[in-house]
Amino acid sequence: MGEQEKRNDGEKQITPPADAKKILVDNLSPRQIMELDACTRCGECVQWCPVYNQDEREGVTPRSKATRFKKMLSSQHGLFRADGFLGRLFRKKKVSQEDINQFAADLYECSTCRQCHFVCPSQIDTVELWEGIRRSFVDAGYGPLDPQKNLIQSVKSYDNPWGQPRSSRSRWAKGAKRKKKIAEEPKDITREKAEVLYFVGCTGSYDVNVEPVAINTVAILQAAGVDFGILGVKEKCCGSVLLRMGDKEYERIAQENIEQFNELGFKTMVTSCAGCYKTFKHDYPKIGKINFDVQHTLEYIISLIEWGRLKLKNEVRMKVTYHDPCHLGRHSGVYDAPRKLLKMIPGIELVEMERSGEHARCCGAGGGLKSGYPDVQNKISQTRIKEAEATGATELVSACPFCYQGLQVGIQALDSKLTMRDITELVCMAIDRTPETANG
Amino acid sequence: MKRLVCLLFLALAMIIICTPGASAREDYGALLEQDCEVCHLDRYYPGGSFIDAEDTWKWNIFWGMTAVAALVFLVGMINTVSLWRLGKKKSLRGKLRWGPVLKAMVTEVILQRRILKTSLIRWTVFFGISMGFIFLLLPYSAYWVLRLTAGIDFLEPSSLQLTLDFLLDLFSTFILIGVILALARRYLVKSPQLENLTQDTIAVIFIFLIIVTGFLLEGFRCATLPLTPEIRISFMGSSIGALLKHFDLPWTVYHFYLWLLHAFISLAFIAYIPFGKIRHLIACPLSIAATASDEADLKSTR
Repeated sequence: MGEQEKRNDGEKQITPPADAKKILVDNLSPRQIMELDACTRCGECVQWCPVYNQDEREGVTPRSKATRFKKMLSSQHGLFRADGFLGRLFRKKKVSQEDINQFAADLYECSTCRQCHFVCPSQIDTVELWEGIRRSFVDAGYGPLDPQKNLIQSVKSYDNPWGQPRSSRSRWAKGAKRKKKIAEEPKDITREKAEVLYFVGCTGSYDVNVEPVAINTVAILQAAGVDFGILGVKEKCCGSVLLRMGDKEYERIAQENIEQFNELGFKTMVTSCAGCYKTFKHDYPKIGKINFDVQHTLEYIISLIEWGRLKLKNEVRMKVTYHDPCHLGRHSGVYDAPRKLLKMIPGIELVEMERSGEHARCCGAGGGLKSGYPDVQNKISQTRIKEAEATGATELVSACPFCYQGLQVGIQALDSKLTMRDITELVCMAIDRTPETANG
Repeated sequence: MKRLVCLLFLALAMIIICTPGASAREDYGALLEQDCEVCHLDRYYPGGSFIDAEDTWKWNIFWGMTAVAALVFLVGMINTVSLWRLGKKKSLRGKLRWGPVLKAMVTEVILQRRILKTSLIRWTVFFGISMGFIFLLLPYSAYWVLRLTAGIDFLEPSSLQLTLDFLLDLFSTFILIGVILALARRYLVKSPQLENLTQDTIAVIFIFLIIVTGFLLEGFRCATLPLTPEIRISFMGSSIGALLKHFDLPWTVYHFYLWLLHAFISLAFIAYIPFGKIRHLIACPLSIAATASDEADLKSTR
């Protein structure tokens, strides 16, 4: 941070803004910096950004972020940097501390939903870019925001973002066994080998409102006779929270997880969390080689049905609408599988929301937005709930514990009659198991 | 690599800077001065002579401006590329996949399907300006590069010359339509998704001025010529010329000075490319290509 200078100018005291610390961008790729120049400022992203839709502040738009970051970069680096000969000749303005602080606040006011990438005519890989810039900001000491620091510290200290002790990670399984929701506790894969690892994820493990996702998934796997295990107390956060918020510690966590997974020798990893799925499937291979296949629960359930190991025999008479989780849909391209599974369940009537698939509205929970800007997330969630209500569906179905949590915020705020369900609940109903629900 | 790019740019700039005079040899010497005096009054021209002004002044000014523009463009591009190269991470997920990249070049860069899906007006703006520019610059650049470097004048058969005249007017009209729509969206309709920064305005105004001065130049030329079928093939220029003919003004003199102004604006535009949003002319196709390659890679792992 630059030195604050003060000078007396008659009666007025002028305090020029302090110069900002240099932002290093070596953790970005040349392509990402080039993409800042690819922005034509056409404003298509502005139309679709879920955050901008709430308060219509230009600063949060991808267009504004690209323009401002490029300006910062060229003011601190290159031939025309502000403190260089050409920069001084053309009176280039230095980046002030105030500019940086405002930019950091705007940079983190984003759910990394990736909608902007899908509507951008230049196809800028926006989320990768924001995540890269966040890494630079964290390195320079400008990020993340204070409320987000708690999540990051918790991951580093307890291997989960919710500040919960490691020892209670598999408490949900004991409770489910006691309540006879599952036949038996899943085996510990670190002690006994299994074909499949069910990676529960932090939200499903610790949040009592979301643990039905884990319980129902285990019930389904057991009903199909799958040889699977869980990591129990040895399960660590996938590191997605750190990656999305720009903390480099993610690489250490990912490396440790990769080593642990590769040693266990399972063939398939199944996870119910769209965030974990995206991280394992698409982000981990950038850190190291993985020797197993990663599948989302719903993809694996479809395989079980197709192999004849799971029979959906009960009619589930419900009118449902499906919410595409950003990390499963836009980030991983899984749009058809959830719809295919819903159509496999007898009696289900699926109605689409006005915006679905590539253009599905975000629930606002991802990218650190829920922790950094809970009020904005609340409004985004309400918008999505209203859209779901407009379909006339009675149930809102998704396939991500984080969206499950995020959308519940909107349901409660609006006192909506919609029932939030994870897709595994419906599968449990169809296979004659009483599903565990957060709604009682 | 960085040095190689710099060297290439330098070589290009040197070729441009060191070739003045190559095109200054319009064969005015073969003409009788009386022929020129029919239209050109010497006293209006620098040095008091049309032929001197055309032979030396005009081209010296032009090549001087070109050298400055090339230098500014070069410095700007070196700065731009050096900023890109601050990034040290890998740019692509895997290897470059040429098939999807080439497909994306056609569907997403040239045809811009995404814009077409969202707005026909925006697509017309894009298509008018970008396609106009591409098809205007390609034959014209090819013509001058061949003429300056190899002495080949592929417009020698006059039918080709006439075809080029027609195409230049046609594509310039595309650009003009695109620019007028862009200005209307920005400043009359005030589309809520548009935010006007100085760099946005400069880009559109530059293009507008280049096209308008270009058409006026043609009009000034046609105003002093008989409107033969050959002239009429330049449909915009001859139409403007037909209008101007009604005014008894020294259009050839205006043509001389407007030509310099047109050259100045066009060269300033080229010099400005690395400094404003026009950079997207280079960066946008690269970004689309990288995304196409990455998406193909992602699909292969799915």
